[in-house]
Amino acid sequence: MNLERIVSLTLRIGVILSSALVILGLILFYVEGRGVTINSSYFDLTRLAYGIAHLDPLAIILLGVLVLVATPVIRVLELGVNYVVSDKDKLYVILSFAVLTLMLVGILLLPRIVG
Amino acid sequence: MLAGLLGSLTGLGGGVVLTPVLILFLGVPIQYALGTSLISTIATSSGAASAYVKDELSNMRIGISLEIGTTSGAIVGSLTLYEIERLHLLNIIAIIFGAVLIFSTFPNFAKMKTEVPEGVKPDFFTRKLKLMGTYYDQALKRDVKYVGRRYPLGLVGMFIAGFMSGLLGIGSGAFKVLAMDFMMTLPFKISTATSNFMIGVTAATSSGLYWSFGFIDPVLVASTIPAVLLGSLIGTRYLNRLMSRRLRQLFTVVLILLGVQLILRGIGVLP
Repeated sequence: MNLERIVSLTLRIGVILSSALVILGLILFYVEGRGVTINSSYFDLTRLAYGIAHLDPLAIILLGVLVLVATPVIRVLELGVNYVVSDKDKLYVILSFAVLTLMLVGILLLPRIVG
Repeated sequence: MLAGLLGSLTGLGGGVVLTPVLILFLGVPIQYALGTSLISTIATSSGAASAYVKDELSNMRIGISLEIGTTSGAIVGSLTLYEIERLHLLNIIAIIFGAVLIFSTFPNFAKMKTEVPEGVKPDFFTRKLKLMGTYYDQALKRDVKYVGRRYPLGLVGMFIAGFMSGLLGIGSGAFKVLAMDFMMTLPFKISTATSNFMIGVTAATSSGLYWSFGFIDPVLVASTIPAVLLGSLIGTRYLNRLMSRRLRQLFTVVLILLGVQLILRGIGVLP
């Protein structure tokens, strides 16, 4: 399987899985009929995990969002690994892992400092 | 769904159409509109990109080498948005959003005539970063060779694009397409497809901060993503069959109309 197939598959799985979770969460939300929505700042990782374990509709939706956010991260990782393994292109190995680092700083590190 | 369709047709990623619709027509508070748009941008980008990669219209080297600029810009942009929100100045965002929409259409008028850039000479960075490729153009019915040059200029353009993405919760595809099209002289179709590929990476970088700021309303996001995705999938399917010129005209008219409305809203003329 070549890189383009793998990347394409990753994107597709990410999108389908996250849509499924988001739609499931939305259906549960309306079935439960709570009618109140809380914004994302409430859900840190602990509360998110707790919510998912208790089938909280909002937590399931946010898990879908999390999957969606993870998709491009995995894609960049795949590209980076590809430049290490098959292309052996040093410059692009550095570039891809620099991009990956910037993404992870934005997604994981900064929210802990600022938010 | 309309947002997704237009988004992928123009390489905008949908957010730029979605946000004004949410704010102007559905009365959603600005920060939630930005958050929803940012997340749906990742969805459309990934959805459309999974199709583009197979068509060989998007160039991964060009994408990755420029994403250094977009991701760092996105971080600065979303931190700036946080400060603006804390100071209760979100109306400024509506005005900037509208201005950005209108501004981003200007270079389009200048370049409306050329379909594919010809006779572009490679420079130092073209060779060093291998920013080149070939694709089959369905409208012209022949293989087109292309070369990307002036990488540093492209990188600056991408930082601005990333900043706008983080600040306005958009994929900032217009800026990315402009940077590639105008500064690096890449063909419109390559810029569009590659930018669509980059949009998800940029938007994902801002999403952690948006999440912790509380800009993401789960129910609103969940109601929007599936529709936007469906629209973008339809858009991708037909992109390669349309002439570049018609694409640009469509792009331009929609942007200007939405931009004007948002500015009016921001300064308080529209309720």
